[in-house]
Amino acid sequence: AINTHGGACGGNNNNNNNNNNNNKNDSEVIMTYGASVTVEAFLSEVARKGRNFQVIVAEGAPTLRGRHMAACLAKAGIDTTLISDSAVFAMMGRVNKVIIGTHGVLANGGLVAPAGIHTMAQAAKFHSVPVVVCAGLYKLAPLYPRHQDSFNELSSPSELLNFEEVDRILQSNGEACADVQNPCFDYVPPELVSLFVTHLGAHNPSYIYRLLAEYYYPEDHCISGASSLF
Amino acid sequence: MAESGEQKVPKDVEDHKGGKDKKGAKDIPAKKPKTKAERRALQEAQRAAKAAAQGQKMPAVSQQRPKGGKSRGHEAVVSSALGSKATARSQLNLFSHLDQYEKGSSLSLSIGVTSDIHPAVHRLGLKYANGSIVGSNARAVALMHALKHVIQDYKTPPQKSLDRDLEISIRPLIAFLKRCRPIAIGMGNAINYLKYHITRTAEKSEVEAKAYLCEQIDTFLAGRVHAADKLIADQGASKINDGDVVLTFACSHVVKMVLNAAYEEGKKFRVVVVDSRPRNEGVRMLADLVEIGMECTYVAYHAVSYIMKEVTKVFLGASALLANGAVVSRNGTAGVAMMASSRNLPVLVCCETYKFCDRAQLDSICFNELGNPAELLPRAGERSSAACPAESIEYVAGFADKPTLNVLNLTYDLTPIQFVTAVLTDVGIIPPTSVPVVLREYNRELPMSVS
Repeated sequence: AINTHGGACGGNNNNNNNNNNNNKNDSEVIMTYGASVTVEAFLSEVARKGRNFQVIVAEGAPTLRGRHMAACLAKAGIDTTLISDSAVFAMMGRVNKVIIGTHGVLANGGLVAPAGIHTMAQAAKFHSVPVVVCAGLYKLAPLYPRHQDSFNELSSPSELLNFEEVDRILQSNGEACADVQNPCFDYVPPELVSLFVTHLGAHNPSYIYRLLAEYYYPEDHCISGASSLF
Repeated sequence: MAESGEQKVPKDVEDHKGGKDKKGAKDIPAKKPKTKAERRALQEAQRAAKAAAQGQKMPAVSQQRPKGGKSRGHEAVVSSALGSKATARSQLNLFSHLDQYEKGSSLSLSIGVTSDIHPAVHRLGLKYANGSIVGSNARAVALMHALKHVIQDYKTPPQKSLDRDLEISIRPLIAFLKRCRPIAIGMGNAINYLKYHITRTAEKSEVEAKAYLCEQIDTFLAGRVHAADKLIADQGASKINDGDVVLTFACSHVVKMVLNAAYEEGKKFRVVVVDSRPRNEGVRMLADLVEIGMECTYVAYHAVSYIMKEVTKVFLGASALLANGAVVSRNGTAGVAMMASSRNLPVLVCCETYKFCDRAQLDSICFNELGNPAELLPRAGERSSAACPAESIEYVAGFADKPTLNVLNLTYDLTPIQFVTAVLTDVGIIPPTSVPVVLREYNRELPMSVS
């Protein structure tokens, strides 16, 4: 599904890129998380235009999509370094910009992003690194988060610990139980996002709610069964 | 220094210390065709040729091992003991000032019986190198036990005094251990402690001196490590209340003791174990805690933000505490402490005073240990999923040949002082700002810290 979206948004991506190559200065260090088709297209376009920068890719456990991103960027000739998620805070001190994709954009400018991005955004805030979110506006939803986990879902714990391992651990104690949680998404509050780069241009998170009018009739702002969308 | 070719049987354990000083750099054995310098020059020439073929500038020469002033004799001892290691390509330029990770190829095969390293230290070095002994306490305790063996087997050569010569004969052992895996700060402090006490044996006879040193080592381990852990466990247990949800990261021996002590006192609490790639030490922690009988939740690092809303306290272990109050700990600790601190949760770091260091550091990059990048890479035969196509997996697995791709595996990171609420030590629960105060008080008695 992501690939078809990427193809359909080829035009979108180019528009993203044209708007925002000015953002890049020479020899910058960019950090990104996991794999995003939009971010990959954005960075490839910037590299094609001859800007000199390095990318640090966090691998994005447990799906480890970051490897795919690192491979694509390296093939495009960009200096890429692959790190584990736990090294994000350590490396953030040397990063100039964080550029990420997202799963969805909420009406308040917050993100429903792959799990782990909240930690990265918080680390970026600590180090005063701007966080740029590249997203086509088809990801915009007229929904507000009621609480932090409004739009989260949990995926299989076997991605973290396979069943044989858990069996072995639990055998040591007859009454033992261990709870393994594997959330898919993180909610990132709009305060942590510096800029949205969309095919209509670059916006502050505070502007996102105005864009709702472009995409949704006011009657559709309240979608019943909203939590089942994600 | 390697022995001459005639000796077929392993050297008598008692002699090898005595003979070592005489060997030094003079005795380059005939069977080694090149010295280390020549081999290095050849390596550089080959690398330059390869880089020229790739049309790329030569990567920053980072294999400057070993750093610091070590004599030729020690280099020769170390290299002959370990054989030649396949050198890794230089990693991200940010880390070109650090020792790059060099995967030792069949270390055990290269170490012949003719090497001059004490067998206990040999064993220890191999265990460090292949990850059998991990964790700052475990490594320091194992090191002190091995040095005790070395001291017991030591024989002062004629015309030399123990207090000067023993220290000189320990140096190549430490250099060997550093080559297997860079030593931690706590280990460095322990070695300094031992060296200080070696200088105090000036008037003693050899038997008395050896007994004295072994006793000092025992006192150190009993007092600064084991008793300290017990004190920390009791203090930590007193800070855990019924209904608490305690979060911990990776596997820390002393945090396990804290949780165990609280559990023994009958407190009702839950534990959340956060794990991270590539080491996955949290699984061991989870297994141990489940065996004790605690109610545990296990999450991976990406879920730190998700799980933090349930957590009431965070207990972390440390590899070292620096003079500016920063905590050196397993890679990923800083992120956990940051997320906890952003929700105003207390972050309690459990650290014995022997790990305090008078160095100051502001970020994780100026001093760190680079681990094996292969740990992050896809394992052989790892199947592709819809998430990550096979060709990308293969591309990343072959990163060594790809000039634009690096893989970085950091071992430690630095947690800034702002995120730490309190430090539990054997001298009490202190704020992180009091670390230099403790260092100063201890230095009054004897020099402990590593510069």
